[in-house]
Amino acid sequence: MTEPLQFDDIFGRVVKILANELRVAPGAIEKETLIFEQLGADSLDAVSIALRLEQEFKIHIPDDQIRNFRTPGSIVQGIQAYFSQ
Amino acid sequence: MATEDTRSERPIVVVTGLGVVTPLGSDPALLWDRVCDGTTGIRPIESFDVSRCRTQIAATCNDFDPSTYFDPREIRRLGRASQLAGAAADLCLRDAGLVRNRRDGHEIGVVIGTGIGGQDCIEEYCRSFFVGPPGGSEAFGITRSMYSAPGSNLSIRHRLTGPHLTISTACSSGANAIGVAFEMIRAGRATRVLAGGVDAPVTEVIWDAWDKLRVMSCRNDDPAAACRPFDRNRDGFVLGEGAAMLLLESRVAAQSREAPIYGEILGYASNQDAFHITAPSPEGEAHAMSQALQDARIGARDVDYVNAHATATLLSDAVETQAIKMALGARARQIPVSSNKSVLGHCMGAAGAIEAVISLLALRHRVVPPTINCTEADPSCDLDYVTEGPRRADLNCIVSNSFAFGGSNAVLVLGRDGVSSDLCRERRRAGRTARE
Repeated sequence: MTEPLQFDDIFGRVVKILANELRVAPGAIEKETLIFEQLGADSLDAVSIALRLEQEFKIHIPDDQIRNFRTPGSIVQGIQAYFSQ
Repeated sequence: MATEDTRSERPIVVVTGLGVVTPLGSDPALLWDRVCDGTTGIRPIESFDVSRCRTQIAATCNDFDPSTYFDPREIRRLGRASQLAGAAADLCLRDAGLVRNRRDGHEIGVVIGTGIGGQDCIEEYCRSFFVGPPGGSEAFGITRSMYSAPGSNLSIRHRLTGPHLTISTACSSGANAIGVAFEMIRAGRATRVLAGGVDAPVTEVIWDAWDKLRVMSCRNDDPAAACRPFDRNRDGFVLGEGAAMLLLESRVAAQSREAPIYGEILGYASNQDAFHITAPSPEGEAHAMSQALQDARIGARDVDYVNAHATATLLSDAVETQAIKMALGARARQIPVSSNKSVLGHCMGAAGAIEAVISLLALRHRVVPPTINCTEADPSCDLDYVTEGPRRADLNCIVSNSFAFGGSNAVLVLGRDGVSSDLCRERRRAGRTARE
């Protein structure tokens, strides 16, 4: 049985994706940073972020989950929930 | 000064802003100096491997740095054509004194000509789709590659809320875009229109496709001498990239904001010669020129210079020479004809717009720019091609030709500021004299 992914490990990888997608410094991204309001993402960025998350974590993100990309923390929780199913 | 062409009460259309990104720089004044000096924008291709290609040189915008105009997120979302067009639009609106304003959009129309739009991005997408890891494709494939991407992106950037069209007629796209914008204003459907052309075809796959067609110069060892319009030893065109934007306004609109005027658009014609997908038709080209003169309500005697399409392929220069003679008759041998492509290469959908900018600057400076590399004219090319260098001339009206693969011809007639009124007075005087 594989070890469950830890929050911090997922968070680091999510930050890397967000920083690259939104062209912001990784240091500017915290768990509760608002992805749309504070980092300036729009709906097209969200689709692109979903694509990269699917590729990085080998997961499938349903369309209706993309609108839950509120903060990096909420994305990490979503990924953890996916693996705990 | 009159604001309407009183012969029919059509609004006079003027140009009040210019913006360029070309292989010879991103400043119209610098472009003009370099075109007149005969400085070449043609150089070896370094951005991808061309060692197995027949042609290894192109006219690329090496000085263009997207980060001067766009932030990293914008750069990522924009293909090269959108970047070139966006930068040229920034420069044009600034030149016209219409400062970029994200909050209050201007009711300005946008008409952009492009041969291949954002197809360079499809090439990138295919690379990741076919060669990259599974799931490695990106979400911006469609928005970056659509033909209307350059026009839409620059409209959003400047909040230009008038009508928007993207026109694709291969190499005549830029001239057609200016012509359609001119007609929009003359018909009263718009007051101001940002019009121009763009193309970014110097990419690995598109290059290979052009190379297979055997229409590009193979003079790889001497890029500066490669593009030889009208010369006996010409061996093809040189592919280029770039963008040019012009702000067109009714004279009334320009005067209401006291905008400096570069010149007037006097006439435009577009036709399809329905002849052959690559071979030009002298009748089709001549007919387009005649129609444009008719639209401008001037005769061959009023034409002071022809800014030729002249790509430097064997067939096209000879056919255009024939067409100029058919359209202008005896006048053809009395007026200068030159090709800007000798230094700029053929920037495809941008070519007609770049050449319109150069023609307006020629009117302003009263100088005909030269054709370089025409050291021994082809016997089938027997007009005055201004090979000695820039030539001073009293320029009032210029014909600018743009012809395209597929037989789509577009001709613009440009005039110095105030020429419509002068022509009108002259005709009235001539009419009075005839009656007396």
